[in-house]
Amino acid sequence: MYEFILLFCSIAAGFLGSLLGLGGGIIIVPTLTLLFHVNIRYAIAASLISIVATSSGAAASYLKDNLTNLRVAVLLEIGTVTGAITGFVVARKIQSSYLFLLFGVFLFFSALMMLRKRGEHLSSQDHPWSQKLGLAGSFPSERGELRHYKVENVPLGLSAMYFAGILSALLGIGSGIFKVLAMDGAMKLPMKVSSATSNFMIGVTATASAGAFLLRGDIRPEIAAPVSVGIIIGSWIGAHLMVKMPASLIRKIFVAVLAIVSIQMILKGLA
Amino acid sequence: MIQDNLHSLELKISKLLRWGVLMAGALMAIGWLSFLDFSQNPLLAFHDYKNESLQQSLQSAIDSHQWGLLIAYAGLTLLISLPLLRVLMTAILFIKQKEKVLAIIAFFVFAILILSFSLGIEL
Repeated sequence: MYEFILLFCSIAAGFLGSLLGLGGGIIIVPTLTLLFHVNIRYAIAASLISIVATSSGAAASYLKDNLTNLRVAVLLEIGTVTGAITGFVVARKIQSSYLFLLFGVFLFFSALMMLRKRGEHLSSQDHPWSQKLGLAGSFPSERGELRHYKVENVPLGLSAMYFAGILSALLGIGSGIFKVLAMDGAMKLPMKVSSATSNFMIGVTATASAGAFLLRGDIRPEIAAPVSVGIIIGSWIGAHLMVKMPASLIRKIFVAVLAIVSIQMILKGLA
Repeated sequence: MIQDNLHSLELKISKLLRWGVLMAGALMAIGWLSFLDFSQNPLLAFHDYKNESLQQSLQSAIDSHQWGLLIAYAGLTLLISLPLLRVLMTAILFIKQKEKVLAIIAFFVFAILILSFSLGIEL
């Protein structure tokens, strides 16, 4: 019975995630720990595997719209994957209460970021690394014309990705928010390109630590199987169903829920 | 244009991987349904963290003939190997496109992924 409730919660998480453009990790870890009282280490590991499932399953659709910059993705994966190794090592050493505290702070930050309005920009300056690797690209605008962009601050973006990788392994999240921040904020990539490239990269980042957690024995099929199957079903429904719901209203409700859950996670960490 | 060619080849890889995800999902669903137990709450067993490696979990599943659990583990393994495969195929793709530096970078990412996996055994 409980496992079926978990399956339905995961379907809901996958659905909501695809509707709001978020990974499931932000929903799955609090659900498993606060609702089902699963140890946070198992929750983080199960969440990572569900991220691998959704990201690998959706990669084709991110590529189809010609927004993903494959070269940027491959380069930045160096940062996220090495960060994930650090995150895995730290996660093994750190006390569970700190994981709750960190997750609580992350949720609060995510809520704030969801309220942020992002301005569109196109950079005309190309960093030497970008010139060498041919990172500059173009994407189709809403009116159908091709818009060309260049890539700035590549080393800064790469360092930020290392940080995103650490948080991914440590908290069982896709770290999409931080990836987008690095690409959009530091490297000045257009907003749509940042989001698509970040989503494309998430699976590889999550796999780095998910593989280590699986071999370590922390990914338990009793939890990970219903969560992953639920997330796959939920995100499929979210992507294929034309939802007649005002996205901005759902976003506002979700921000409020995030803030409340963040306080609960912090309180649990302090207890 | 080289970029377009690269993009369409990567799209083919991604479509292939989508089938992999569906297969992994099916294995996990079959495994999970076969070890479901309605008489108790199996999640309670995971309230406390147990220091048990994958090898130990697999051994105990084999000893107690829990085939469903083993099928679910096969699904998990398949799922995790998919992004690994993607990085390797992307690296090969860059070689074919004669983009040496990006190919080296992709192979490097692949090597770090393998290193990361090995940490799970060591620690």
